[in-house]
Amino acid sequence: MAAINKVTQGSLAKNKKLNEVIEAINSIANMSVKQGAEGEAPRFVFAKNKSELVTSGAATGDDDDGGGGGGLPSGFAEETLDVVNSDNTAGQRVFLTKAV
Amino acid sequence: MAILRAGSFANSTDSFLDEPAEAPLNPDGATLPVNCANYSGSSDWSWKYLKISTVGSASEFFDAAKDQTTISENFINDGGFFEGEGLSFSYQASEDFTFSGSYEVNAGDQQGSFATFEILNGADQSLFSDTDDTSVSGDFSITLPAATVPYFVFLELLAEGDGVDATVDVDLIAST
Repeated sequence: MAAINKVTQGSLAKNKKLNEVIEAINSIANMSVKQGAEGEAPRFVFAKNKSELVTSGAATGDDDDGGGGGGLPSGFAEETLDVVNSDNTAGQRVFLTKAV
Repeated sequence: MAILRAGSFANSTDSFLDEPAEAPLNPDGATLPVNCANYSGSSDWSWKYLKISTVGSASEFFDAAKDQTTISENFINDGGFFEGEGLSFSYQASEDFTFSGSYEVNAGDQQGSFATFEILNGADQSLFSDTDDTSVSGDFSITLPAATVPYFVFLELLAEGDGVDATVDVDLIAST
């Protein structure tokens, strides 16, 4: 997104607050998002004309900390269960299950 | 839509039971195997049934082999009568299906003899029946309903006479 130019001429240029607001808007408008490293806490980094949103750390397949990312939901495991298919044949499905 | 398997055995109050240590000697309230319709094409889910050879004293569970197309069982009762011998099982099915086979029940020809072949469900409702004085035989073909909860089926023999024996064949569909 194109940045908003600061006011440098005219009576509005005398109001420094206006340019501070423009800087803040430009920072948010140019925000990038990235996935954090494993175990890294989510955070928001705000800088002049640029900001960054770091999501929670990526989970591995064995993670059980609910960290999100590409792994299984917290506490769930894959389990293969028998089913009756829609054509009355026997089949199997992989379910995500969690003990209650 | 696929339905989750119950069993591997079930009775009228519990659909998730293990195979009982001993086969039931009477079909009433029995814990029975849960089949996948009449499908025998899965080694993970073989088609099983209970054979009651003599009510109260002789019964056994049997497994159809994978892809087996027919089961056939003979019955002889030295006491001169059948009083509820037969084959029993339960099943789950995603859709209605045709259950077919053949039967022969002989009772002899003495006065007062009779021979009956009947198919009952778990509510004791008759789905098929054939009876006569001396013997009955023929084919059966009935539509069994889709069932998420195990549906009980009993192929029952009733007979009395001086030459009681029977044969029951059941067609299994091994392919889709």
